[in-house]
Amino acid sequence: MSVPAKAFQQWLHAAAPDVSSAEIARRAGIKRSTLAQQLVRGKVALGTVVAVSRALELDVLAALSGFDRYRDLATDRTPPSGRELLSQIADLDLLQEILWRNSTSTPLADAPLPRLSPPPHRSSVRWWVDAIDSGDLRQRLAKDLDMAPQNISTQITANRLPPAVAVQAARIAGVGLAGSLVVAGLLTPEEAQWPQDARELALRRLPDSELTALASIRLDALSRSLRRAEQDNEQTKALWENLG
Amino acid sequence: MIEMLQWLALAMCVFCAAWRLPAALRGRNPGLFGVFVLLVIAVGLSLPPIYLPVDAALGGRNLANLLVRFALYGIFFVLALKLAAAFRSPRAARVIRGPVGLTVLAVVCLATIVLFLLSDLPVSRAGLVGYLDQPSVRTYSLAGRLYPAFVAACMLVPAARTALTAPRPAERIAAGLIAASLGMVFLLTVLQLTMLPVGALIALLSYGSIVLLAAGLTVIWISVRRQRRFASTAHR
Repeated sequence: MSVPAKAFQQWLHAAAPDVSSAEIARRAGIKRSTLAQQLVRGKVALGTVVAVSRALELDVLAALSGFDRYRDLATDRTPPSGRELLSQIADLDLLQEILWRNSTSTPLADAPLPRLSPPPHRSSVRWWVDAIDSGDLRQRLAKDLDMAPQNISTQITANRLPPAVAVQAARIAGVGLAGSLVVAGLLTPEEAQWPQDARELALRRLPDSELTALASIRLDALSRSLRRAEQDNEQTKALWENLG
Repeated sequence: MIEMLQWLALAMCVFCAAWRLPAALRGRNPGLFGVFVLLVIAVGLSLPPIYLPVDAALGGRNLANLLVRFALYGIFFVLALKLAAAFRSPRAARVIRGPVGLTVLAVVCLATIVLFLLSDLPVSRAGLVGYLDQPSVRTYSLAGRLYPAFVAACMLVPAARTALTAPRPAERIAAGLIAASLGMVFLLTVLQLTMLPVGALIALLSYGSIVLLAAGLTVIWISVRRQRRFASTAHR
């Protein structure tokens, strides 16, 4: 996913007229050669726009919506749903919350908010898709983006969510567009204008029973993926030790 | 065409053996290094320019051909155990190492020696060309195919399964090449059993299978070395 280099340069010129592209790259923490290459190829990665916006202390969401394909990012004000917010809490943070609730007698309403690791986590994509999918999301994504459904599923399983897929998935599901870029790892929740402490509050409001059920689903999936990884490693080890 | 394939197979086996020599000396997988050394002997002795002087040194009575047979049995026995472990098929390993496999091997070895002694092979000829009108020589040459075909039949399914399910592309490619190689070994024995006049096809399959096997093992060797390089730079 990218924006046209020409549009990027126009935007950059308007935002920081006196700064050289070498200086921009340095401040944004991008290699000069990477930026130059993206400009030559005519496609600037969305990650570059985000990094440059941060370096120039601009509103990242507003910057992104300055590009044609992302106009709707700024106008869309859909807040993240409760399920979306919970989907962006790491497995271990859910478990910490269970432990914490069982170790304290403080009423939940008076307790300090839990401290959560910043999104995305190691299975962010999968659980986000799970939270917004009403049944045919993968097929519709594949059709809209002209990709093989198999590829979409592989990416989701591998916890990869290219920004183009993220935004399109949010459009199809009718959920907040900016939030999809949080899941994609491009924006922070603040940049996506999620309400303050939204994930923490969603977690704290979750009854014990639902928290436990959620953690159990997560652990189940985690154990399956760990088992798969272990089997893969064993196969690799067997091949290498005997034929390598 | 066939001769070019033979030289190519020989070159690949020499290359693989040489490439593995330093690691084998350090104790890494000496069995597989041995397989390549035996392959060099077996393929080398199928080429008249190598066969004739070697056989002359052995007395000029085609003992070198017997050497090729036993080299092949050794190759397939060691390779089968390595492949069974690599493709995680304890059942195949049990068959090959157990009573069934060892009986097949013993019978084939015995038959090879007996048939060789029964045959009249006064003049040194690579591949025993010109003696195939003798029934004992034809049976001898067929017996030599049976053990490799038995091993290939045991290992074909585990190899194909790994080719389809291995986690990394390099592993799938390697297992696929090895599976194709085993399939060719099995097929060429079936062809030989039919007694059809397809000698050229059989030669094509047998040397082609060696090339594919060497290629498959090379893919694994490269991926192991690359991984070790990553690991060693990560430790630094």
